[in-house]
Amino acid sequence: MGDPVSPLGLFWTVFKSSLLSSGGMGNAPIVHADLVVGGLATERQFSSALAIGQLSPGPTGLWVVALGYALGGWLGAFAAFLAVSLPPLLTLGVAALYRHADEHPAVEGLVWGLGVTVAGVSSGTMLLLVRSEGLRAIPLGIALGALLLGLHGRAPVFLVILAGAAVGILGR
Amino acid sequence: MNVEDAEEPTAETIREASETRPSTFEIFVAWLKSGGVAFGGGAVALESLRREIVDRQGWMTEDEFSRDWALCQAAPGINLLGMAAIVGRNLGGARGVAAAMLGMVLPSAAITAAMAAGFAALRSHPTVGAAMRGVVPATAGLGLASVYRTGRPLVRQGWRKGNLARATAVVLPALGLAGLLLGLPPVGLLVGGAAVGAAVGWATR
Repeated sequence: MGDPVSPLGLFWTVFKSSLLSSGGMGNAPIVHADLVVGGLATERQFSSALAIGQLSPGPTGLWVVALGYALGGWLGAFAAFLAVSLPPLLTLGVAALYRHADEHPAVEGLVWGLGVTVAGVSSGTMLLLVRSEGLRAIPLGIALGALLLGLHGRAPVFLVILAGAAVGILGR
Repeated sequence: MNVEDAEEPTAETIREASETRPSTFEIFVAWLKSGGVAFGGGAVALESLRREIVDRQGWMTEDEFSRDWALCQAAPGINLLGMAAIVGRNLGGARGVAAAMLGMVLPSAAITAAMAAGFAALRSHPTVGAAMRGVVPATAGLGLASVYRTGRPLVRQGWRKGNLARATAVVLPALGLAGLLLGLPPVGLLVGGAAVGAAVGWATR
């Protein structure tokens, strides 16, 4: 990678993407489009940050802190940390809105429409990630295996990622 | 306790009885030791938070916890942080918001950044490079599973609201997926999806 990404640019990308999505990895598509498709980060940096976010304790959504570190050192990590921590404060406003009036069909529909669209867009980002390792049997098999284990919900996330790493080392 | 209290234990009186008004520091510690250090992703962090503030501390009831969590799903950003914000405010006002949110993110963010630093130091090692070739698709597979788990209840919710909402529940994710793969900007896709959702919500009210 060339120059480090500016902390302000990182802040804006992460802030905007978190404001427009809900949940830990809902912001991944916009971050991917701005930074990876925009040529500021590699697929590897993006996916290793997602993996670190899954492995570290607490909310998965802090994966952007790992990406911030990879792109801009400690300052980048801090910028991403601030940017991802601010949008959830709007939950206070949403709570007030729901308390003051029960019937908001358009607002409810807006949140719902955003949620189902995020599902589609996020699947696309994950498929791009699979494709980045080449459409070969081993990476496709690992992705499918991880998907099935993830749906099953019993296998701890770190074991799934470790198993992927082991297959990657054995399969080289 | 007088007779009236014994006769009518409404949600309010139960709430008042359980409301011990924890200090700002107690709020911080509760979030620090439950959510902030729980390994295994959001669901694990949520469950350990529930055990701490509902079962152990009795700061809120099970129902209140579930209702607040449902609300967080409809708000932007990390849902666990939104939860920290609204529960923190109920427990201790503005300082409660700050204490709960910081307790949730500080250890987790510090460990995440430290792991990223460790990874950056090892990145050029050939074994790490080979491992990443397996980690990338594994992360993507787990990501797809997580999309399915968060998306399915939303699609079901649309399914109960008639044909227009059903069609929208299928078309919006499909257009989002196709649009992204065709290289359309995700911001535009999300804003469009939200606008269509609002129109459908209004039409099916």
